[in-house]
Amino acid sequence: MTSPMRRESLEEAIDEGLSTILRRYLNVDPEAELPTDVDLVILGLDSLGAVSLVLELEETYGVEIPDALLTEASFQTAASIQRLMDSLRTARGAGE
Amino acid sequence: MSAENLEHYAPAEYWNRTIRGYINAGGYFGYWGGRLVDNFLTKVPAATRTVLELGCGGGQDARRLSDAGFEVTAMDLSSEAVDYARRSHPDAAITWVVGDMATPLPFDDAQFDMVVSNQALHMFPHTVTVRVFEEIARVIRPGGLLAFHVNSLKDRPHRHGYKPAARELESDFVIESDGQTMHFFSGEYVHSLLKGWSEISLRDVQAEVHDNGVHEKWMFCVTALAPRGDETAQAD
Repeated sequence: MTSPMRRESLEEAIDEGLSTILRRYLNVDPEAELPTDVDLVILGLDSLGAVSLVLELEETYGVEIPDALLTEASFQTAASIQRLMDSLRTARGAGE
Repeated sequence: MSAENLEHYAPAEYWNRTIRGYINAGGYFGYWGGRLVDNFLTKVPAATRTVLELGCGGGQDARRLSDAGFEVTAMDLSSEAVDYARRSHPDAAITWVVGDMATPLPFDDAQFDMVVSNQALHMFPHTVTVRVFEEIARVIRPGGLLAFHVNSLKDRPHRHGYKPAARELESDFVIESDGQTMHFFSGEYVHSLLKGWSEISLRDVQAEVHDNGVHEKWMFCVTALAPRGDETAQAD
């Protein structure tokens, strides 16, 4: 099915910084928008990359990702990682 | 694990979200509007009564076939599309089914005289596509007509122009930024899927798609007759 109206189906937006990081671990055409709702494994993330990605996210965002949150669900898509980072930064902000 | 092994294709959630967008925008479902059916109606064998449509979307093609006198069963992966189709055609005697054509079809062997699919068989990676065609061969009666439209390889550069491919998952099979998966069919590929079928016909069809502008669109209109008993080497 194709359509004249497909731009109406909106996906969750993610920060440009996160997008830049993720692209380094994925195999996504630089000319195309990063899919935010697609499993990162489909987009080319491998297990070695996943480990490095977690470390880079912790360093860049200045957060520690608790083991309990290192789940398949929270790392499944760009959108879910964005939500995780948002919640960790909010939690850190609240504690300061 | 490689992406190739995942046999990934856009899930029901993608289509529900997309169809919700179409419905809210009020424009999409009238667009192809049953017109593609006209490309093969003249080829339908005289004894054809029961028809299965795979990927019915808003139900225009099913409606057109029903109005033409066929007994139509129409299936779509998206429950929201099927709900919309059912609501839109309350007066038509169509059997609406929510189902994933990439899994075994919920129909009997040789249940249908004809199988139809417009712009829906091109959503899957190769191994899944093969299975879909095997299931079509199972549910269609020997000698029944299969008629479908799919995006052809010729469409690929045009489509990438307004809907770039985020990643090529397999040869001629891409995932786009919104999560839609698209398989562009070559003529050779169509023939490879229809081994054992007879009277195979491929026709280039040009259309246009409106997506932030008007774009050229290329499809194949394919028709073929299902293998008959003694020819069904691969269909049993």
